[in-house]
Amino acid sequence: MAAWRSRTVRVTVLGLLSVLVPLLEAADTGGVVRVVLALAFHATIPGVPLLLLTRLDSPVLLACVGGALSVALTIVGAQLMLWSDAWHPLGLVVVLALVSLAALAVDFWRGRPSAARAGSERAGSVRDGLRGSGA
Amino acid sequence: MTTDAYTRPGKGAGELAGATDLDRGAPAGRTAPAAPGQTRGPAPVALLAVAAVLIGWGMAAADPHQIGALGIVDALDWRYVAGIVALAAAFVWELGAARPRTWLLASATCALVVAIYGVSPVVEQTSRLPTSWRHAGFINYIHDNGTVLHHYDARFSWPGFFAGVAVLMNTAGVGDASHLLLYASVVFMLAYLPCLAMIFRELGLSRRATWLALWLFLCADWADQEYLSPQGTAYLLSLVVLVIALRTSGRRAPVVGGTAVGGTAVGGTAVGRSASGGAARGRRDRLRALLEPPPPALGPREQMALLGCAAVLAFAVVASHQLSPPLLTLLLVSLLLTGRLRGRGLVLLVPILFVGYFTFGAVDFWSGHLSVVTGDVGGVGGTVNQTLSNRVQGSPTHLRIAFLRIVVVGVLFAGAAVGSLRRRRWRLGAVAQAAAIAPFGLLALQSYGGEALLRAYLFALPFLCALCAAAFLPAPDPDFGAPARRRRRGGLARRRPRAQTAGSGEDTVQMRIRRARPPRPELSRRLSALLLVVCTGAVAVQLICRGGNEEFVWFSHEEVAATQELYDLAPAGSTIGVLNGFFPGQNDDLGRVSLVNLESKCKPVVDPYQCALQLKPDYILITRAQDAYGRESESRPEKWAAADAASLERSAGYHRIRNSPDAIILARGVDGGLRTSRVDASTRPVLSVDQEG
Repeated sequence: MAAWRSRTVRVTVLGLLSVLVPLLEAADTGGVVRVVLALAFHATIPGVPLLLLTRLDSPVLLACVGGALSVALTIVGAQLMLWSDAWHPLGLVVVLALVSLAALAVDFWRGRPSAARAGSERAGSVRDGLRGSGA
Repeated sequence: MTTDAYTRPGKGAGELAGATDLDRGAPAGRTAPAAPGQTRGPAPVALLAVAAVLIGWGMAAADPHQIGALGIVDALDWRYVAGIVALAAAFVWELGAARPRTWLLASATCALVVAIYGVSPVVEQTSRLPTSWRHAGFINYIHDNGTVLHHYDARFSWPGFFAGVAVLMNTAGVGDASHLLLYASVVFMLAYLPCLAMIFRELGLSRRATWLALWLFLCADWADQEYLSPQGTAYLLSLVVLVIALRTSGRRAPVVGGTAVGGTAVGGTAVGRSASGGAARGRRDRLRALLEPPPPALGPREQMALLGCAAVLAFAVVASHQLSPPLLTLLLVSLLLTGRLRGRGLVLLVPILFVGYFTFGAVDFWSGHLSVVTGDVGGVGGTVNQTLSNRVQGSPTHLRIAFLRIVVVGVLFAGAAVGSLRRRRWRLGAVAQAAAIAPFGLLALQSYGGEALLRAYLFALPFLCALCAAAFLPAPDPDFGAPARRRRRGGLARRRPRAQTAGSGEDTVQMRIRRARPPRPELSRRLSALLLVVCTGAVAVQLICRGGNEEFVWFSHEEVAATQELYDLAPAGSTIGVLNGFFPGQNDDLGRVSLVNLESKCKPVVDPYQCALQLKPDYILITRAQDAYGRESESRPEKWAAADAASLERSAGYHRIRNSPDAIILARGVDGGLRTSRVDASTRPVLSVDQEG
């Protein structure tokens, strides 16, 4: 249950970040809060939500690779916009946010209590089967 | 997911040592409540608090105008020095505890980051380094125009980083990138630390040695590349690629008696067992398992995902900086040759991306200048000479600082050699040794305007620091250290009869296994004293090495205001001359006005005054930093810049439109009218690189 709660908090925070930042940018408002949220956005979105799908067991590895992936995707996206002569920073942020939200939705769906219970039951039956077969 | 979820038979005992990993699966020393006497109590905490207060007080009291030829050290007083000594004492004291507290060591390391990398911005209150102001200009241009300025500067051929920051500015609602410059060094350094820690753990360092290596890295990175720059970001991304490469590739399965070792995790403790064999072999395998670096406790899906991330990171590196991809490739090749690279495609991917980008994405850079790119290939001696001749020159004080930097590199290599020798008995492989040497292969490819040696040093630095830390703490775990061995020898002598009655008949193996048991021993007093001297001395040396250029890389508010005033004043199409590149400008109006570096524009004439007479720019900006650079780095006489300004007024028709202690603006004109004389665009420094630092 604690794992479910922490997952819910994680998904909520990252989801809010994914929604709020594009909205603030589109409205061109926010002041200092917007600066802080923007820094947090580009340091975590969409790298951390994407890596949550892989279920890495190390939070430091998740933070490092997730953060670096977010920065790298921003750089790659910006470079592609320059190459294609289509400079739309807000568009890139929206795309990154959508990718993040999709990844968070999948992560949330996979980790819901019923799915986790089913998973553990499946694992238990496999264990029982192995035990029964003497393996 | 549990630690043993992905351990697979046949992967080797090396995969089983994950229980002591820094970030994966808390080690016993962290989860178990510390017994009395195993931690240092509140004393290191108090010492750390005192250090923080003293360092903060010292930085707040410092006057930037006191910065002299010795750099930032000239502006600091006893409070800062006392704070550094207290910080080093708190760090070493805690490091020596039987159970060092991670949060305390992390706090001390972060405090060191602020003390070394935050001292300049706190004291100076303006963004330092002229190159960072140029970068702000590139970012602003992309932010405002949504494109790059072609044929303007080589760095625009690798605009990925600048464009990425422009996107960030747009998201944050920031209109000028120069607002992001001030504390960029601190942010970058804090971002490097967890990556470095993971690399050190993957190299087989103990937790203590990992913290020590981090401290040494912070004290040896005098290259000053961690500002808001493509190379700073590319370095961060390269570190993460290395983390992924090491994390996804375990060491090859150790062979015991001709049989690959299998293993399993028992109760979260690293334990290996041979596929066959008796108790003695099992114990030997357990010992080997404890000696192995952390394993890649990742499933195939996770490994593939991480390698995919590495590919994206590699592309971002390639699109951001021209020199980092070859260095990253050399490091990956070294990992491949030492058997620590499972994703071998990375070794091919990075150079393919680099060559592809260079061919199609950087046409502006190489078209018409291909000889500049290929001219240095094979010329190692010339590259080294160019680097040294560029940097080891100037006033006696500046020369001493330059020599001190060379000495630091020499000491690091000597320490790495000692560390390699001391690690040899633990059979931890040659990964760090190879990676510490590999980046210097770049010298055979490019001089990079005399900076290749510096960048190679930067990429080799984590591995040099790891080996230096191993010189002090060579064992993979503190339990295997010499003091522990001495301490246990007494205890084991008393217990030996019991061990012999156990019936194995192999005392030697039993003794080794006992050494691995907790509680962890404290460091000896002699080693602690040595570490205190090393840690304190390293900070002092770093402040001189890194802050030695401070006199000409920091800018007063007056210089910033004068530069901005000139940019506001200069009409479109006019030219602005500067005596050298040390001024806080070019952060705006890249295409509107032309900037002429009077020191490099008229080569072989290197006298800015003579060049100004030849080119006659519309305005000339003269700043305190330019004067300091000429005096310290080029051995020009005192107040040479002011003398040049007076001469230009007398003989070239210039008059002062701003005259303050830190900045002079000269304008060329007759009766208040301005004659614009735009310098030929074809002479712009398309191939320019950062040579100011």
